[in-house]
Amino acid sequence: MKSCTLVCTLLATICLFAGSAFAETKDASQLTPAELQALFESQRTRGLVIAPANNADGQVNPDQTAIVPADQYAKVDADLQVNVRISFDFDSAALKVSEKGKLTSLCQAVKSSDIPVFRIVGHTDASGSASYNQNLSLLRAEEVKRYMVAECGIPEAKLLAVGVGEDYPVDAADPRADANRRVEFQVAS
Amino acid sequence: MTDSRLGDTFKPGDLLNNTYRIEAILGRGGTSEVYKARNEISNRFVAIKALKAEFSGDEGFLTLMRREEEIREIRHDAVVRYSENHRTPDGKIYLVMDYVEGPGLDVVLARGGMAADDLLAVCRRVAEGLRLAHARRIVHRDLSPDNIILRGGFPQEAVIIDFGIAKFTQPGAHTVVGNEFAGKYAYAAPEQLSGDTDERSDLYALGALLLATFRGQQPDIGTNPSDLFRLKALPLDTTGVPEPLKGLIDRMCRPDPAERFQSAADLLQAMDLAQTTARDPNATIIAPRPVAKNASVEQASLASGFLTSPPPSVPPPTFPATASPVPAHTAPPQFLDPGSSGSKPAPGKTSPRPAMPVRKSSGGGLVVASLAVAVLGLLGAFAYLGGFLDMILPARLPIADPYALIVERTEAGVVRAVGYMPSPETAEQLSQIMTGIGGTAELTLASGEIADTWAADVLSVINQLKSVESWRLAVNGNQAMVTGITLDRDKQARLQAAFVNGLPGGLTGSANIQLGPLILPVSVLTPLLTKAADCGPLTLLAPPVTGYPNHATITVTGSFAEAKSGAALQDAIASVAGDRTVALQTDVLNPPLCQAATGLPTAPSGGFSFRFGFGDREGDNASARYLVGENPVIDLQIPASAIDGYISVLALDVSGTVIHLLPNLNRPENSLTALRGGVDGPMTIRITYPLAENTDPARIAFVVDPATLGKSQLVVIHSAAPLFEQMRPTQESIGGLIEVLGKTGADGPSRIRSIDRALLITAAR
Repeated sequence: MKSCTLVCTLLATICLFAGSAFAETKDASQLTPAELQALFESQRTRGLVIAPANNADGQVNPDQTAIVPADQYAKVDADLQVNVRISFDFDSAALKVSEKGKLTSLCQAVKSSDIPVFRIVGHTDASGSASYNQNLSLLRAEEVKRYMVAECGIPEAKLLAVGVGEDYPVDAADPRADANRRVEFQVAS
Repeated sequence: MTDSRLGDTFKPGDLLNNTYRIEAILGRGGTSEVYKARNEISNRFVAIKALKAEFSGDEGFLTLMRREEEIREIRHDAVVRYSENHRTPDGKIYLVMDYVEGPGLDVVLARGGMAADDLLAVCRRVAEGLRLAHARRIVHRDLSPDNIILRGGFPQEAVIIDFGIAKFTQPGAHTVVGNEFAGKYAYAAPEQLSGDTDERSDLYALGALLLATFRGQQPDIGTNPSDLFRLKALPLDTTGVPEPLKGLIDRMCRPDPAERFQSAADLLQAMDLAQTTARDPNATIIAPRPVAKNASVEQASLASGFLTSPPPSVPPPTFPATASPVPAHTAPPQFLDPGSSGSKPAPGKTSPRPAMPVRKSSGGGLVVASLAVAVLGLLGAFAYLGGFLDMILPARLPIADPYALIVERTEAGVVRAVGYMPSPETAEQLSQIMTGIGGTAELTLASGEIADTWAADVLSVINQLKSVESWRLAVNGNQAMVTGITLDRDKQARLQAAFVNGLPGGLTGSANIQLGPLILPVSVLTPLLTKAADCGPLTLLAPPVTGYPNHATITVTGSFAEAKSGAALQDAIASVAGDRTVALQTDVLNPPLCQAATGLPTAPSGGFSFRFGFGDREGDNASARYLVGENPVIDLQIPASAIDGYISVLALDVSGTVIHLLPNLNRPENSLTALRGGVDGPMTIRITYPLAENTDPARIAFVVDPATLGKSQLVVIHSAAPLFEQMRPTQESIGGLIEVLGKTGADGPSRIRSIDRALLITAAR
C-alpha cells in the first residue's frame, strides 16, 4: 500500500502540482533561499494592505485592516504565492521520504529570515466533504510544520499551520483540479 | 505501651502493605515484637506480631509463624482473632490479628485485684476458649494475667491473646534469662519446668492467675530454681478465697496433673454444677484440698525424681547465663529443627554441671566468672532447664550437653557467637575473630563429647565464612550445620567448593551457601527497567507481590531500540538477582515503532489478537513473516468480552507511517455493536484483503514492497467512544498520531479500554 514497506494497491499517488494549469506559478522547491526571501519580503509589504473585513456601515476600518489574525488565511496574489509541490498520497497526511528534500530551500529561507512567524497553509481540491477536506488540509500543513521543526530545527513558534480545505482554489475554473491541492507558505506577521 | 527502640522491626509511622499504619509497640518477645497498628482502610486497630528481622530468613521460624496463623481456625470470642502472615518487600514477616481494647488482667492485678464473682466470669470465658483451642491440640503454655485482656473492661468479655511462638519451641526456653525468670514462671505448672506440657498445664496456669488476680499479688515462686522447684511442688494457698472459686482453683492447680480437672470441659462442667448448687452451702462439689501429708509426699517424690534421674526432656541451652544486655538473649539457639522437643541426654550419663560463662569485655580481655553462689539465681534457671541440677562444682571444666555453639551474622547485621568453647585459648581466639568482624562473643567454657580437633575445626569454618554477608554456623557436639547467603557469585561458588565434601576435621554435617538475596523485591528491579527503557515502557511479567523467591525466573516484556539494550538490562538484573533466571520477552523495534511505543498512550491488553494469512493461498502464517511480493491477509479476533465501544486498527510501518485500517474514509463503521451485527462470543473480522478483492475501495490489500523491509506493527485500540473526533486520513505520520492521541492519553475523551499489538515482519526473498 505504501511504497515504503507495503504497497496499498488501492491508493494512487497523486502529485499536488501535477497538472499544467498551474504552469505560470513557480514551484518554491525550485527556488533558492534568496529568491524565497525576496518573495516573502514582497508578501510582507503587500499582505498588510489586503482588507478582508468591512465594518457594519460598509466603511473600511483602517485599524482592523492592518490586523490580520496570524492564524487566518490571507489571500496573496498568485505571483507572490510561495507554493511547494509536495505530493501526498490520496487521503494521506504523511510526508513521504521522497518529498522531504523539496523543503530544504524553504527551511533555509525561513530559518535565516527575520520574519517572526510564517503561515503554512494546506489546501485541498473540492472532492470529498468540506469538513473532511478542512481537517485533511490542516493535517497536511501540520505534518509539514512538524517536519520543519524536527528536521530543520526551526522554532515551533515561528510556524503556524493552517488548513483552509477547498476554499481557495488556485484553479477556480476546475475546483477538483489536482493543482488546487497544495501547501502554501505565507508571511503571517 | 513501650518506647520505640533502634533495633525494632518497625517504628511508629511505618505503613505496612499500604494498609497498616504502625502506631505503637506493645511489647517485645524472644523472637518477635508486637505492635498496635491502624488499618487505614477500615480504620480498625490491629495487633501485628513481627518476626524479628534476624529470623525472617529462617525457615524454622517461618514454620512457627505459619503454625501460629493456624490459631485463626479457632473461632471464639474468647480467643483473639488471627488474620494472616504477610511479608514486607524487604522480607520481614508479620502476622496480623485483632487488637483487643481493654485492660489486661495484669493491670487489674496491679490495681489491687478483682472480686471473686468477676473472676468466675473470667474463668468461664477463658475455659471456653481453652476448650476450643485444646480440641485443636493447641496448648497456650504461657497463660498469664498479661495474656488475658478484658475487652472493654468486662470480665465476661475476657480474651486470650498471644498464642506465642514460644509455645512451639522449648517451653520457656527464651524466657528464663535474667530478670524475666520470676515473671515467666509465676504461673507455669510444675511439669512445665521439665518440659512436659499439655492442656492441663493451661488449666493450672489459669487457676494460678485467677488466684493472683483475686489477691492482687503475684505468686511467690522464690528467686532461684531451688525455691521455684520447692514452691511449685506445693499446692497453692487459697486460704481466704470464697467458694466456689477456691475449690475450682484448688482443683485446677494440683501439682500432679492427674489430680486436676482433666480438661477445660471438665472445668466448665464443675462450674455449672457449682452454680446450680451454690444455694446449698453444705454441698461439697469440689474435691477437698489434699492433706498436708499427701502434699509432702508429692513434693518428695517429684523432687527425688528430678534428683535421681535425668529430666525427661532437655531443651537446648539458652544463652549462657550472663546477665548480658545484648538482645542475643532474646534469641534461643534453635537447633537444626527448632520445632523439635529438644535432644535428650544419653541414658546413664553423669549429670552435667553448670558451665562456666565467659564474657568478652570490650577491652579484649577474657573474663571467666567464678561460679559464686550469688550468680546461681541467674544461672539456676538455665541450669535447671538444661537438667543441670547438681550444684556441686568441680575444679575441672563442667560438662555441657548438648555442646552447643552458634556463630552467626544475621541478615539484620547482628554478629555474635554464643555457646561453649573447650578452652580459654580457643574462646579467646573466637572472641578476637568476632571482635574483628564487629560482633560479640558470649562464650562459656565447658567440656563435652566433642572431637579433639573440634575448636580448630570450628575456627577454620568461621574463618572461611566471616566475609560472607550473612551466615550461621550451628554446632551441636560434632554435628554442625552451615548456612549462608552471599550476593557474590564467585564467593558462593568458592565456598560451596570448599565445603563440597562436608565440614572439616571432626565435624559432621553440611554447608549450604546460597546466592542471595533470598527475596528480591520488585522495587529493586523497577529502576533498572526504567533506566533501560529506550523503546517504550518495560514491564515485569506477573511479578510476585511478595518479591521473587530464590531460583525464580524474572521475565521482562516490552521493546528495545537495539539488541544491546536488552543485553545490558539482562546483565543489570543478573547482578542483583542472585540465583534467578532473567528472561526477556522483548522485541527490538526500529525508531518509528519505538517513537510510537513511547508516545502513544498505554493501556492493558484487551484480549484482541490478529490472525495472519495469505491472499493467494489457504493457511495461517503464524510467524507473521512475509516475503517481498506476498499479500498478507490479516484478520482481527475479537474476544467475547468486547461487546460495545469502538475499535480502531492501525498499522505502523517501518518508515513511520500510520495506516488507519479501521475506520477510514472508505470503511467508516467501527462500532462493535455494528461490527458484531448481533453476534455474541468471540468473532473475527477481516482487516486486510486478498488482492483479488480490492476492487472494493473499502477492502484494503497489502503487498510487500522491497523498498523498505523490517518490522511493522499492528495495533488495535478498544475505546468507549470513537478514538478520534474526526475521521483521520487513511495515512498519516506517527508524529501526527502521537500529537492527537498522546495529548489526551488513555483517559482522554475516547476513554481507551485496551491496546493490543502484533508485529508483522517483511523480508527479502
